[in-house]
Amino acid sequence: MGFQFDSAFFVYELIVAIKYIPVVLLLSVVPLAVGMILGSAIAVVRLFKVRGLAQFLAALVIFLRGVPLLLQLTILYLALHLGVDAVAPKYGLALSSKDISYTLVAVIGLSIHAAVYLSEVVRTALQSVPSGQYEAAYSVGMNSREMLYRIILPQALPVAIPLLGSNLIGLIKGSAIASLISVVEIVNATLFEANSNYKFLEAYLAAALIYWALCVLVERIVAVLEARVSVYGKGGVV
Amino acid sequence: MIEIKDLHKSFGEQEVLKGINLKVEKGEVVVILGPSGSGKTTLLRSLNFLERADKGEITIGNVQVNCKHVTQKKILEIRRNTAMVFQLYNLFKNKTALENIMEGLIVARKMAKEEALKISHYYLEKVGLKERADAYPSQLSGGQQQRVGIARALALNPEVILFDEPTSALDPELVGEVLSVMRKVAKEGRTMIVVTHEISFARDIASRVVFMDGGVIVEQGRPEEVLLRPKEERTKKFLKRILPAADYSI
Amino acid sequence: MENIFSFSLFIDAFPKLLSRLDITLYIVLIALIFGLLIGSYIALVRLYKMPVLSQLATVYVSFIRGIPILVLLYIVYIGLPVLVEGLFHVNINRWDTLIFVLIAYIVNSSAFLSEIIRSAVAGVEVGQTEAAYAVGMTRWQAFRRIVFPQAIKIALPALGNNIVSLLKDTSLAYTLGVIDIIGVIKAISSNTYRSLEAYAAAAIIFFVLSLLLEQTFKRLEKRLGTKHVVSGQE
Ligand SMILES: Nc1ncnc2c1ncn2[C@@H]1O[C@H](COP(=O)(O)OP(=O)(O)OP(=O)(O)O)[C@@H](O)[C@H]1O
Ligand SMILES: [Mg+2]
Repeated sequence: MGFQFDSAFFVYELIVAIKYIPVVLLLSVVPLAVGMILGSAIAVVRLFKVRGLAQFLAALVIFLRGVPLLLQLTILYLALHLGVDAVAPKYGLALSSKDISYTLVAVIGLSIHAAVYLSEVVRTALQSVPSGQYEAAYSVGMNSREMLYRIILPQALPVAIPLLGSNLIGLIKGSAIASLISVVEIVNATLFEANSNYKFLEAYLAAALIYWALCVLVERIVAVLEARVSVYGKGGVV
Repeated sequence: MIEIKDLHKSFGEQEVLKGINLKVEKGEVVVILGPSGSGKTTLLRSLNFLERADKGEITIGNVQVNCKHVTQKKILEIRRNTAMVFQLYNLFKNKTALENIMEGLIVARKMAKEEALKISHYYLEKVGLKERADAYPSQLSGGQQQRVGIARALALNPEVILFDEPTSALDPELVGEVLSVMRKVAKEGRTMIVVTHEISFARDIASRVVFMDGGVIVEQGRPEEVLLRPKEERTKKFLKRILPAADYSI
Repeated sequence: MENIFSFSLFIDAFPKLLSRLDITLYIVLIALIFGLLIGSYIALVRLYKMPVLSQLATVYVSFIRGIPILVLLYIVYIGLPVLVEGLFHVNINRWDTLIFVLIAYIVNSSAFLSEIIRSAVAGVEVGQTEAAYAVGMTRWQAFRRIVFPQAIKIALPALGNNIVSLLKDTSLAYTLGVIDIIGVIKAISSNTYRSLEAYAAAAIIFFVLSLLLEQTFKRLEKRLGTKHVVSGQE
């Protein structure tokens, strides 16, 4: 009973995987964007030491950084189901746990996950700009807004871009975990096709290839952006 | 005209400025001397609200503020009446030499771009860096960066330019080029407050020398008075320390 | 509230989960040790630009870093027996699942660790090696006495982050049927919805372990005087 690699089925699975790239993007780019907004808010609250809230968010960030994504998604999924079923009847809502979209749960979970890490990215990037730059901006008469947009963000961006890139890659790979809460993305889609013929290795290799391609693509884009954004930092005497 | 009345500032328990009174007339060049930790930097930074003084009154040009109740709007007005040259230059790293000068003109002074460009070129030439307009700070030497810093301050045409040890981070051979630019600026009748340890600059250029120690102004007067015939014991001790014996008679 | 979250179930879950903590830690430890060994070798191959091997290593590292650990687990689990059967005509289908899990995590961490080691060694200035040669050190002496201690300092924060990630990634081992902290939840809960409490308990356990690891590394960094950096979640 020797193993035969079914290349025709492998190619078929590749096409299936490609068709599900939009789902992976939904599960990674959307959380990246949402996480960026939430993360910036968290970072600003923490940088400006808003009393109470800053400490609370710091604790939350530390906690969530220590909990595996799988557990975050599973807990969110279970809690939403139990919560909806317990609360909806009380208020006479025609809503049951069956109405909750798995994909939506995954997007919310991944967004929270992203916000935690991106808040650290934003904090690092903003703190990487020396305080002299803030002072110089004030000394020529800029207000906080002008300073942020014209001086601070342009300098923080080169620090943030590679970190954003590796976070996006983390989200693309993390999206595979959504398959464990029944979201149909690349892993589940290719597996589904293999269920009838047991050619799982072809299925997984096809999925792997597409994930790899996506990650390499993100790396390339980051490299290009990095080169474009940090021209002023290079070379010369100091 | 600049007037500082009874300015106080503490960091936690430590009182760094203990009631500073100082008046600077238009066109004066005031050099502040004093030992390390005496509060010179804190005084300059309080003048443009990079540091918020606890108590006292500051008048710069037509803007007057009481440090106890100051609004964000007043702070901006004060900042637009002053300019600062930093010890570590603090050029905007994401802007070229020319853009560094234009930035304040366009953003804070709301000047049209062509005019800002013209002014920036003019001041860049004045500090001898016409050729390096498009260089980023990382491509300039320390002395060149500081000259851009001075041009950036000049271009804003403020009531007063504050200099905080503008040459102390520079290699000795680069100090000269920066000092000579500062001399030129002083001779044009700009109002300047300069913290420096360059006694020769104080002697030749200052209209007044102010000696600070322990958060107060110990004595002030014309440079030859304060530097050659100091009245206060603390001033004598300080000068003895920083002037080599042979040089004491200037 | 009781029918959403039962506090007593939550408390009861801890001893059951902790009884399998050793499996989780075992996976982390083995993956770390072998990952460091293999990772160092890969890093050297790439640093010294050994022909062919270096290109292979580059592709290996890129591929492993580019695929989800979940997919890697299955590829090792299904693919390795096929590979061994084809090459050596040995049937390893009966091997304990834990072995496949360990191999998958070793493969994964070898790729990540090789990158950390490589960039840390490359981060030590060439002048350091030259100075070492100039005072008469051999290549090995220069590496061991000058380059390596500096590289460790550079690598430490990333290494710490990576071990925390590794710990969290072990939460996926259950998908192959290993009864670790997560696996035991699947095993003991007949009703999935009643497992919320156990998952919450697992979250706490992972959080505490991560925190301990992080603090240990922070202390190490302080002792070695490393500057702290934040890296991504990759
Ligand atoms: N942000 C701050 N927080 C706490 N203490 C400060 C701060 N800035 C300055 N100080 C303290 O205030 C005192 C005066 O500092 P300042 O920088 O004004 O001295 P200086 O006269 O400029 O000294 P130097 O000649 O060394 O520059 C010092 O004891 C300093 O430690
Ligand atoms: Mg000072």
